[in-house]
Amino acid sequence: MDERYQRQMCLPGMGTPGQARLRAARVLVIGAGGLGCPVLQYLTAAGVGTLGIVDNDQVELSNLHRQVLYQTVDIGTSKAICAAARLKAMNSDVHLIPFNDRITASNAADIIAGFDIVVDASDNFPTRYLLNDACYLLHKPLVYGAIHGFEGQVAVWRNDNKPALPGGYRDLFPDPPADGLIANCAGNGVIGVLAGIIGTLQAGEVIKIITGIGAVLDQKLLTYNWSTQQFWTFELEAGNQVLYSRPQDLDTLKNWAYDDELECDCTAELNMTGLRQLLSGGGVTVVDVRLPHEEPVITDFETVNIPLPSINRHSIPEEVEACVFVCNTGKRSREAARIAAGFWPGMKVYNLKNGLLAEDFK
Amino acid sequence: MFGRLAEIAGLTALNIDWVKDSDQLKQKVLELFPAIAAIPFRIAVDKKIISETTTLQASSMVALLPPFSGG
Repeated sequence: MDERYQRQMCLPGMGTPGQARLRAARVLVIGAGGLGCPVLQYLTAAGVGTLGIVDNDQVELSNLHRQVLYQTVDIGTSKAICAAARLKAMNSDVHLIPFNDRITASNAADIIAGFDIVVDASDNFPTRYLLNDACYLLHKPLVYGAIHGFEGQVAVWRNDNKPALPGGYRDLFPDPPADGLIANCAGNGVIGVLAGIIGTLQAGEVIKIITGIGAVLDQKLLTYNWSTQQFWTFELEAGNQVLYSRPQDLDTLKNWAYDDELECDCTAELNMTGLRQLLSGGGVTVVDVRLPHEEPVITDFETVNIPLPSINRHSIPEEVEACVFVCNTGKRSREAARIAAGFWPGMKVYNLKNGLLAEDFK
Repeated sequence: MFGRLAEIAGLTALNIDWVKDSDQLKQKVLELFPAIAAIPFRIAVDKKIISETTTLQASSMVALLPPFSGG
């Protein structure tokens, strides 16, 4: 074992203890595509003891210019299983666990719980928000990487029991972009080496977290532009938490409507005029998610008061067909609407956009 | 400007005559490139990502950072 890793073990700070830490580490890589391939290759080569690989895609011809683990003969086979076989051949010291499955709100916590560090090498916003929330709740470090055209981003979210500090994907980008506004690699194009560079940077951060060598990109966002060869590192300000919705526990996470979250802004939001129109048609329950003492008091239509922390599987009768969530600003009610949409997929769920205070409410 | 914002604006950097603070700067950039209003982005002033309106100096370097999704 030592000879394979001798060239890194002789580095200051690594040695036998550093190599033992790598061997003991369990790292989960979400996505075995452009970013995932270099992450997996370098972590395998470095002797990380256990690597989980989550991907339900199959190898396609148009993947091969950047997903360098795969060969032409692999087209049509499962990425997770193919990657695991290739990596095992590279280094049989490494225990490889392929999950030929898509990471979802319902399986994320169970899969992630078995690992120490998670690498976000995914290619879509719902998965990025899901990984952020799951790792935050499970206190697992998350190494984020993303690419767009000629540019990439890398950041590390420690999630180490210090919830007062910012440093999560939702702190950085509280508002998920509406669906389709920011294209992925399939729609926008990507240069292969960029994925290699950003994925390799992610693998580097993982090795730093495991061994304790160097300074981790904590509370920072690194950006790289391949065409101008420029790196920029931006600091996240401490102590300025942006208010946003996120699942507060694992049960809520399981039912969070991640795919709908990106569309929530345009499909299921009402203003007061819309709410009054809906009420005139009947059959709608209005749920006030504020605390009981909050002003203004709603008098001109009937409401049910269920404060946001009490919204759960049992708080709304199953026979309710349509539900409008309201609060003063539209933020808490949006969170409630997302929780409800997850628990009761058959129910029509609305949010009073901008809340009671922004409207001509009397 | 980065990512999708740079693509919409057709440039990665520009000089803007001094404005008082980050809100005024955002307003000015939206006047120049109205299409970026649909994209969520964060503002960094001198490499610090800000959460509140921040006073600008004539020499301040402001970055507009959208999210990326590709992998």
